[in-house]
Amino acid sequence: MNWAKLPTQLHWHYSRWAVILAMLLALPWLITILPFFGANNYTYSQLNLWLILGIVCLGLNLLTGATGQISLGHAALFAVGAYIGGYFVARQEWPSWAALLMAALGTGIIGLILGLPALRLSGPYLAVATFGFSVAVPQLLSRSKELANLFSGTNDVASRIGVFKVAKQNLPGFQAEEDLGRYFMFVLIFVIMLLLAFNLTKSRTGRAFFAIRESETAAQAMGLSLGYYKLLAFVISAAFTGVAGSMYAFQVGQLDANSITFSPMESVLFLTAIILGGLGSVWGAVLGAALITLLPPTITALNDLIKLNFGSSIENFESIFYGVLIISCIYFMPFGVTGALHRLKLRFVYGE
Amino acid sequence: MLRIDNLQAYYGRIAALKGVSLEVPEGTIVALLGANGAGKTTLLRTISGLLPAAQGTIEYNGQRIDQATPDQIVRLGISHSPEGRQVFPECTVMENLKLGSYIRRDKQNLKGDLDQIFHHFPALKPRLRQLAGTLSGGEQQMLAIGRALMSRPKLLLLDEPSLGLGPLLVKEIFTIIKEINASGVTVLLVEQNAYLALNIATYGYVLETGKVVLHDTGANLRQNEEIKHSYLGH
Amino acid sequence: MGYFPMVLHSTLNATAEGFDWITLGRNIINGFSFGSIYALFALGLVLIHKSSDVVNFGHGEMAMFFSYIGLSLMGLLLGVNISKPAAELPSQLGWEVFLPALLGTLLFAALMGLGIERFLLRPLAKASVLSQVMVTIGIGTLLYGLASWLWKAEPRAYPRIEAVSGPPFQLGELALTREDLTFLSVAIVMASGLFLFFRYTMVGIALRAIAQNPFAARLMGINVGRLNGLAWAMALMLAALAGMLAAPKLQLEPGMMADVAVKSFAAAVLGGINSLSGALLGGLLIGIIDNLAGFYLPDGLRATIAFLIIVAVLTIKPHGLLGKPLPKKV
Repeated sequence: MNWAKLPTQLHWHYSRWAVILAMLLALPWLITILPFFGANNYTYSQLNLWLILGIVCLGLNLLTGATGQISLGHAALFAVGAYIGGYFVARQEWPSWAALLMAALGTGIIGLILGLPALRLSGPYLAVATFGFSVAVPQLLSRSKELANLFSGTNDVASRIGVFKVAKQNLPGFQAEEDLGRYFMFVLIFVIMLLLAFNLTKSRTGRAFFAIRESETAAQAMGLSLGYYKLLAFVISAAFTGVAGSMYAFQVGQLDANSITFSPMESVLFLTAIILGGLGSVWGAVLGAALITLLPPTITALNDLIKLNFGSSIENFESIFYGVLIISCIYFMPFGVTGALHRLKLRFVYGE
Repeated sequence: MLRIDNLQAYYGRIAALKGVSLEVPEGTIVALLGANGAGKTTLLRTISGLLPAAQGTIEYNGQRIDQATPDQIVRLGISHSPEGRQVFPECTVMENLKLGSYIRRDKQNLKGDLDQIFHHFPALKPRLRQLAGTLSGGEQQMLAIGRALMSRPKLLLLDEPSLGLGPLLVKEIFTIIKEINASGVTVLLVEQNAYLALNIATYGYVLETGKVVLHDTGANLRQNEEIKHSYLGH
Repeated sequence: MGYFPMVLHSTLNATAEGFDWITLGRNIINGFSFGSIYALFALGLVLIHKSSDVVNFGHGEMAMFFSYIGLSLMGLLLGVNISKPAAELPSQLGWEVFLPALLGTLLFAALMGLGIERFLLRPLAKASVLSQVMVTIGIGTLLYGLASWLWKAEPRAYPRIEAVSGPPFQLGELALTREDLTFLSVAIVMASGLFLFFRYTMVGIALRAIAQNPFAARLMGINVGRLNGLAWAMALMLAALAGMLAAPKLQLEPGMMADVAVKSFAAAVLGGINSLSGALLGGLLIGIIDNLAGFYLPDGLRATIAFLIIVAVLTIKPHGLLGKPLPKKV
């Protein structure tokens, strides 16, 4: 792949990107139109989490959506990215952008290891092998004293192993509304990753990825090196996830390897997001992430409403809600939100 | 026996059959000729209910079957031996044959049916316990036809029985097709090898891009200049 | 992020002080006992995957839900409303209560299996397998929520069957409880029953035919949809059986099966996702490896080691120990 060629290969007209950027910048104010979202740090932090999950989904989509390789190991990559990013800002006192790059690089390398089983395995077998990675990494991070010392330093001995304080990162000038400042910082990163993802899917490499998904035999017959492209997909996908992971470290300021954010089930959540959004579509990843992130405040508020009207709230209401949501989304939009939009477009624009 | 009128069928949005009409009288062998992609296989699949008919009618012994499901159609006595054989590779030859009689309730006649199959295909008998995937191409083709016969069909749809087989085997298979026909089974035969097909066919239809462009008796088609030119390689 | 409702909980054992054969034996017996449960789950996963290529990610939650249904039915028979948190059932029940409750639960499970296949998965037959897998995740999440709503999330005790809770058998210093023995024999009986079913019955052979070539199966007049429904029904009945047997050992709560489901999935894959005997072998192996790793390895590395072993095995045998290659898309 010719990296030098990438920036000139914009497949969307610049004006469209300007509109998208403007919308993203206006989003913190636009979103307050929605019920349950006020102009406060909580709302902004939800937007930040959306951008973070969005980048993970962009990365996972390049792998699972494009090449068809299932990964249930991305929660581990996310953790790796968070710890590397956190390490460089907290222990080396590097600027956040440099830490972010290190996270991308480091996680990319770890992604290569995660991708190795894909050379031999596929389908449910690959799912289990990568899931194992998701199980192992948080355990290593939370049990190994050596790793703990490396990340949090010896001055943090009293705290539990694997818990690690990171300085929150922000743009200068946002003291009161710190999450809003981070939002603008994250939008910048997000747009860059979006551009990368877009160009990658349209590039030669992207076409090779999709060819592998359609038929490995055919792709091989066309002279594509399966192993190379599969590993490349894992590395790129991991680098995206690493970027998102370090953004997560900058956002929350404290990492806990035992927390649910780094648990193996988070990998399933990532997969849910890209399937709900639409496999293989860049916008699908962004929309799927939005669906998964921006709903919880709504769900909590709904449950509060139930409590108000019926006297008691429903225990684990969010699970019922999520279950119904996932089932009905897939049922009515088997090819995700973007698939459904595409069909609507066909119907209204072309009258089919 | 089988009467098809103005049949249309689609693969997604692509029209594969654009109004096909044909007739298969009882007791005959009718050959369907045509190049790759002409719609021959699609026609067979539409008859056996695997593909929905978008328009037109398929009548079998006076009964409309164009909306019926594959299992209903098999029960009515139409059996389909698909292109590329499609045996169940991890099942034994015996299991494959049993699956052929899946819809039949009178299982006690299994032995008699098997004898009938071995009469046509003696090569299968010593291989009953072998996995179908380990058979040679010719044996798999025999198994595919035998499997289709196990449902005791009145009409047999045969898709490319000569595909990928050597000339000697092809000749053998065609002799057996004639035998099967002589035993009272009507045959609708799709074949690339027009020469062989027309040799045994009572009647023939030529399909081109989803339409019937020519039909005549087998003997006449063999003499037809156009056929000679495009399909018989003269 | 981090609100996905399913939580993995790991039960950790202390590291062993020294080594003795009795402890090893106890761990192996315990491994067999848990492994039999994994095997029963894995058999269901294999059954579903064989017929429709789908890995049922909701299997654990379904089994959990069935355990609650079973408890409700027992409550019904004894006149106790178990959705009240204070409601307690006796810790041991006789066959006259357990058997009707089990049969009722099996019926419920079968209907649920048929329903899931007919109304949720069959309409999605043309979508990708991942979409169908996602639906099973949705069902699992929904059942998790429903169970905590209907029966509250607090853990509660589950009655044991009187007949299998008698004194353990002694093999020298090793105690083999009747419960462990029941698990193991049920798993073996079910695995061999299924094996015979697939080998000698027409329906079983037809199910195998569907797995090998759904297109040709339809040409044989096999009603593929109906048989897939049957496979789902059978798989969920196995899950119900496993759930009701294992619930006393695991303690009943909505998250009780999360860990079991993951290990059963690993077991099915280790044995080969399309092999029934593989499911039995994989389940028992995972049970034993997991128990030994939990006992002899440093705190917290249990699951990691178990998965490392799986990855190592898969690297050598990419289709599992007894599995066959999945059909390739060309």
